[in-house]
Amino acid sequence: MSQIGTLRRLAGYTVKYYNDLIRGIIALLIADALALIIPWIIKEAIDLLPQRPATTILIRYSGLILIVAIFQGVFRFYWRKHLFTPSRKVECDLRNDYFAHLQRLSWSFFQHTKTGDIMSRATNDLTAVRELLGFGVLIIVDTIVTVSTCLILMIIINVRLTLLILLPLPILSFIVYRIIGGIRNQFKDVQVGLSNLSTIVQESISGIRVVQAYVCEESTLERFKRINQEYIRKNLSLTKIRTLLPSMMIFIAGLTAVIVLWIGGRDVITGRMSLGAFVAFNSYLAMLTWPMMATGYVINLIQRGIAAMERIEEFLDIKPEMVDRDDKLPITEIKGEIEFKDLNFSYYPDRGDVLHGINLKIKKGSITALVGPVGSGKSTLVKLIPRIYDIDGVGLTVDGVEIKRIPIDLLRKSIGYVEQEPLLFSDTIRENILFGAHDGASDEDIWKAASISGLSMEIERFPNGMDTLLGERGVTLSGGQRQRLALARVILRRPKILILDDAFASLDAQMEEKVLREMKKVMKGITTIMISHRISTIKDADMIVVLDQGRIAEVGDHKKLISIKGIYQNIYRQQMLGLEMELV
Amino acid sequence: MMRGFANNFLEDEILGKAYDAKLIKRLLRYIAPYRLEVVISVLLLIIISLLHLAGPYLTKIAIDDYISQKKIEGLNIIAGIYIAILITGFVLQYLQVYMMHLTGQRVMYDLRVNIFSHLQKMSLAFFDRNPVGRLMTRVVNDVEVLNEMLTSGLVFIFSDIFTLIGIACVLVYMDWRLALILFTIIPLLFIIMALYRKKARDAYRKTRISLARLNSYLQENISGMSTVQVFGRKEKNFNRFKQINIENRDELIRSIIYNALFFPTIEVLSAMAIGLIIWYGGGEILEGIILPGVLVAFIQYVLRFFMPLRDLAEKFNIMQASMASSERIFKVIDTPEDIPNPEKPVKIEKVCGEIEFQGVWFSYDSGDSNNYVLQDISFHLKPGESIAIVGATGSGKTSIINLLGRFYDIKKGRILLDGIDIRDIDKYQLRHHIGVIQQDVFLFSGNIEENIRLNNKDITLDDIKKVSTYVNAHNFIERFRHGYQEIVQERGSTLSLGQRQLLAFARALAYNPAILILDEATSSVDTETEILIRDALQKLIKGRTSIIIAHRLSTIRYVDRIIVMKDGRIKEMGTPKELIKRKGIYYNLYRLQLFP
Repeated sequence: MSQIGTLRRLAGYTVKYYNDLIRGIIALLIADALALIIPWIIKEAIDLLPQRPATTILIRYSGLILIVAIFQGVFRFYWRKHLFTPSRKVECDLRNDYFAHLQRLSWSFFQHTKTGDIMSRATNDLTAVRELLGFGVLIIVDTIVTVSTCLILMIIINVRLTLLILLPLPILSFIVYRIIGGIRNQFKDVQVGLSNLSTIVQESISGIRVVQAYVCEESTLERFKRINQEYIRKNLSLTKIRTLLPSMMIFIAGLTAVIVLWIGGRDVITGRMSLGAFVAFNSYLAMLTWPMMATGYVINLIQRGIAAMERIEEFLDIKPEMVDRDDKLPITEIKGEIEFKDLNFSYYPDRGDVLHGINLKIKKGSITALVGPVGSGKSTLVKLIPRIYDIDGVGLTVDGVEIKRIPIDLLRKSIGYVEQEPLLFSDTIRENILFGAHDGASDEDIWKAASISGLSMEIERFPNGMDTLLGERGVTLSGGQRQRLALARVILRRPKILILDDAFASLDAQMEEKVLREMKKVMKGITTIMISHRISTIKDADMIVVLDQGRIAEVGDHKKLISIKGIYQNIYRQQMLGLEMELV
Repeated sequence: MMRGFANNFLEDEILGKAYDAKLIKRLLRYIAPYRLEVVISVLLLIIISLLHLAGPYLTKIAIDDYISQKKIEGLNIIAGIYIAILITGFVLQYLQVYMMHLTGQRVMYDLRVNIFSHLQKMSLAFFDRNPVGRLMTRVVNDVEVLNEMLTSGLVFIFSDIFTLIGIACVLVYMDWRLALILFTIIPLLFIIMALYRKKARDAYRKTRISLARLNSYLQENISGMSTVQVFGRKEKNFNRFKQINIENRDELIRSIIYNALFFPTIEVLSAMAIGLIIWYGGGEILEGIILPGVLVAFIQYVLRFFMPLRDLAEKFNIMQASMASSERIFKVIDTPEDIPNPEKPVKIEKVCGEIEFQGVWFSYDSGDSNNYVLQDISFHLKPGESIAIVGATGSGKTSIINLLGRFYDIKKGRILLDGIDIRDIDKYQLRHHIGVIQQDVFLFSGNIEENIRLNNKDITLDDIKKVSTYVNAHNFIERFRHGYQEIVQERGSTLSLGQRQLLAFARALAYNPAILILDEATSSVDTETEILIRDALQKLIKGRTSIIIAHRLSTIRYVDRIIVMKDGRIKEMGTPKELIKRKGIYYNLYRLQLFP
């Protein structure tokens, strides 16, 4: 049932290009028909020979063959062009839809799905689908047309001979069917072997420190050799069966040729068939060989294509969670007051809560700092505000409105969010700073943002300034530079709510202080929530919230918290140690 | 918007020549051990090509000698010979392909073992430069591409050439005049092929580049999807993706046109050849120079002549990809071992564990840069003595421990173990005596037992249980459903951070090293585990020369001496008592009561 659904969906994509398809199929039909004419001309020419025709007649026949061939060539060009082009266009459309759909999926999808898997569906699987549409359609049409017409012509020439040749066909298709089944199973085995091989390589390299430190090189190599050997064994047993197919096809094709030579030869001797007909029969037979061979291939192609489309559909059918609800409110502006009310949160319904009973009111324009040990839930808490994670209940409001009733685009447009490890794109520095900017940011604005984040001097020193490329083919930025670029990006965005999730971690204390001071000047009136491990960063915050194991442990300003014996005080003391060391 | 992407494609996708004599020569060295198989395979190939040529010739004999002469018995003999040839061809071809695959697989095996064992010899500096994914591609995918070249590319090119030459010979033998007339088409064929090859190569290259660009953009967007979403870039990024996607599509459609032009043109040429046969050969028949069977055989041979040209482009692509792959593989193999083993290593029988750093300077950069992470480090450890290194992040603590096991080599100075320069000791033997416990405990996929044993067959399960009990790991391991056979994953959450620590302790202890190096984990663990770790640590360093990078203040209590590092230099060194007397950094920490 689902296969039909998949095919229907695929047909939906293809139908758009019916113009190309129809032209292609018509051209294919004409080309196939023309292909059938040539052996017939040869037949006529050979049969004419005993009557000793004039050379001019022979030239006429040769010319005829060439003309037919040229026409055939033209139509072949057309069908190639018109049948393969739509498959490329569908591939492109499908990829666009896939991408657009991915964009609507939530963070949890990307956390639970390997990038490699998402990529592989957009590449390998999509290729399989395209081949189904291109070659698949072509071969199906071609096979049907060629086989049926060739058979008709062969029957016209010699019924008995045609039937004799067709005799081994059922046996042949049975054998092919069995072999293909065997290949499929062996192929899966080989894939498993390959994945084992990749795993051991990946592990041995990732864990090279351990391998070298514990001098396990030799035993690891032994293990690698064993898996390598296993993979080769599987490959060879696949080869054993896979090789059978083409060899057998050649054999069968040869066998039919022998039958024609033997039985057909007798027919020529007894006068049942002319020599020309005998030659033409042979040519038609040769034309049948290719579609016969292709049948196995096309079965494989179709199965693979459908399986691949199903894999793509699997993702396309995931319902995006982050969409506006029907009861959304017509809000046009966000002011920036945030409130958590008895909020609990867990990533999975079956696992324990990551956040318990959070009650917190963050005033508009205030600066709030979150501190606490690793895994205490700080990052999770702030990620709820731009709805990177969605809460189940109603425990979170912005400007007094339940967060899920705010149009999500507006919500996100009003938030600036900087991660500890910000993602930059392989693009110019300018484009990266402009990344989140609302329309109309001038060059001056960009430089100003860069200057606030303390980056402008460094950018000036780059070979192409703002137009310097980042990434694999460009400049590699240090961790601190990346963070400051991410800060520039968010400064230019001018958000109503600013979330700094350990955004200064890679800066040294001096640089952090400088950037922070500059940022405070332009960020007045913006509700700011910052996560930091450095007391120096947060001690001036209006409110400091200490999280511990998903609960709020302490709330207050620096002065208040330092005076009570608790987590904050302890962190403060530990940091003084570090501070002391830097001072010496 | 596209300006930034002008040359942004992955290095792996750049393609070069389809044939590089130097690379082929090196590849042949890997094939050399299997030369017998290859020679047999090539011989078989020649025979197979000849057998395939027999069909049309038999047809000719059948027509001219028997069918025209109306001799049925002769026809039976010909049919019998034909079947015999077919069966022989079938068997030989099967053998040949299998043999070639066998060779290909063996070469792959050798090559992979070669790359893998070479990688194992590289220093950590090499792995800092080369991401895991890239190295994996070398060992797995690139080798696979080479196999394809060996079994599908190279061999078929051979077989095609044999077939073409064979056909030409038979044609000349049957009727040299007709053959010569036919050969006039060949120059035309060459021109078309040369044109196509050039266009196809360019098109292939362009499509590969645009596809790489598309894929890298896709990948970037997938890994950064939350950023894209939070910054409201959905539409902008989609538009850009669409643009790259369409560019890729158009590039591909252009390459369709080249194929669509090439193949029909070849077909027209083939029809031209047949036309020539009918015209000239027909005339010859009329003049009585040849018999009709020759004409039929000629037509059949011409059809076979054009067959190998059909998948020419594909073969070309295979060759091109394989040259690129082999170049990348050899680049890895050619990277010299940057921490070479001494040629005449000093034999060390038993290690006492005396360690001395003498004026050690170290930098991660290769060459003569002055980016020293460690500057003039000197200290001495008596056998069994323990020392803790403290200091701010980036002060060079971790670098010190990387040097002792020669994971990196120092720039200046000397490191001595029991009075011997560690560069004179066999590095594997050296590492054998040092137990390293890293901050992040790396777990291999497998069970807990295997992760403690690390492939060392001398360590029995009893040993493992003993050491685990000693370092307080036994209890939590026993609590798993499968005990020591519980499966763990590299990034699996089966084990907590603290449990991983204890497991690493057991791993180190199982090897019973004379020297222990411990980079303490920074992350906090629950109090109960914390106590277990502290207890295990005390046991571990007892009677062992130990260097500990301390992140927990409590750890400092157990060691004999302390080194305080700052900016790559030793600032203070001594017993806790001495350091307190000196009223330096340590004293300040102490005064602040920052540790118990």
